[in-house]
Amino acid sequence: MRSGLVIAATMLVVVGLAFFAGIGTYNGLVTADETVMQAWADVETQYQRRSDLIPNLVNTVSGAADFEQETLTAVTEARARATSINLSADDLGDPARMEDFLAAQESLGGALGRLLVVSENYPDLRATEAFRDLQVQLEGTENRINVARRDYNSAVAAYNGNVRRFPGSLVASVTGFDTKTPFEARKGAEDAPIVDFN
Amino acid sequence: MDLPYRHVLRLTILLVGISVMLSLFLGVRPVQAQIPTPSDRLVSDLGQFLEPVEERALERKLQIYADTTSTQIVVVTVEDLGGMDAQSFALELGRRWGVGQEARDNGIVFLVSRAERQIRIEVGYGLEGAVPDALAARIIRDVVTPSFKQGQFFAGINAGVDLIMAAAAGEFEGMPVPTGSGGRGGGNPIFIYLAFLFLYFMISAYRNRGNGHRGYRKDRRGDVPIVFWGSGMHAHRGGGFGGGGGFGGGGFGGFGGGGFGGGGAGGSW
Repeated sequence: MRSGLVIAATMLVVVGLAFFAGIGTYNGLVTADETVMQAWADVETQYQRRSDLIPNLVNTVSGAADFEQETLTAVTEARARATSINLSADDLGDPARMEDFLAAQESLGGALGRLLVVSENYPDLRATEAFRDLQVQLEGTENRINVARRDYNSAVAAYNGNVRRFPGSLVASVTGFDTKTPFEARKGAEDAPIVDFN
Repeated sequence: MDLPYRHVLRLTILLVGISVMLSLFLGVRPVQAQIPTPSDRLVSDLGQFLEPVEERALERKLQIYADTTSTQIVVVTVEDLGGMDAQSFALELGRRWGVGQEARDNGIVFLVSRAERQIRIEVGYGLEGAVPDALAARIIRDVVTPSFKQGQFFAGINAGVDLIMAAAAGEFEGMPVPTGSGGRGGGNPIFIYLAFLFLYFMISAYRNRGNGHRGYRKDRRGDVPIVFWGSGMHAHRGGGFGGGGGFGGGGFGGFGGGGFGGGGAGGSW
């Protein structure tokens, strides 16, 4: 009788502990998920920032006598493509959509890189303060994009670790947390023109 | 009959408390080796660019500025960047040291590396408006680099810092710095919680020894105010003390945990 009570109480404790551990794990997943969302919002902000710089850049550059129209058009078109693909937070688990998004952003990066390379042929343009400042802003934006992408990747790594490892995997499968897609160096990204900002 | 029940309950509370605390400890990141450990000064001349007199003058100027504006500008010179690029190095250093105040993200890292001949002004989130990349780039290009090319390192750093200070002035006002339990070491809420939990168990164990016949319900009612008292203390801790910016004495209030996101500019001489 007495020992039966002890066993029952012990079982109650074990179940209770499992329950509380489950809550703790769930809360950990929610926190990690929010960190990923936050990091993703930063990534989007920085891509948006780059996109916002472009009209100004195009204006400044096209002011220079007969600047190559082809390069300018390429930048404008790449920007239009990149801004047309939006990735909502729900798409972060979808590698294909992520791939599309990154492809568009990287082709914009490539077009911008070519524009800066071509601008080497226009020393008068490069000497203007407006162009120099724009160049610095572009460089700063690329920096911020890199930082935001790194932060996003480490947030995703932490989150995915929580989702995949036991006991998080158990809680995640019950409560519907899926793994998310980190940025990866895309094939062909290394072929993009090297931008020399100096 | 009620003995195992009470033990079981107490054990449960203890284990839950421990698991809650363990979950709070998660999220600690590995440390990279080549970033210098945080110093208690705003000027760290590890690359030997400055004379001691110059270093002290710069330190004093930056401390007064940090005291009056809460904006923390650190000047760090290094021998080399250990294979990192200047931007990543400055960013990591700013984040790891926690330069700037946490709520304001108003830190700036002025980094100079001897081996790579690199200069980097890394700007915290909160100052990206006051010190935009283009301004940081102009400061480096027009002021710092020309002096560095003539070997005038102090002149270059000093003039650059002056311009940064002028640009960031008025962005933030001074902040009452908690004295006494200085900086980051003083008072992790987890440890305070742990201490009160420990106290709670000690006192409840002591009481139970005293009046062994009382039921659990009675005990609990007696203990509750202690827990509330604990959280009351915790809330009070956030208030901080007046103090203001004292100019005398060495050292500053400690780094505040400001955030960085890649703002700023770099250059080479």
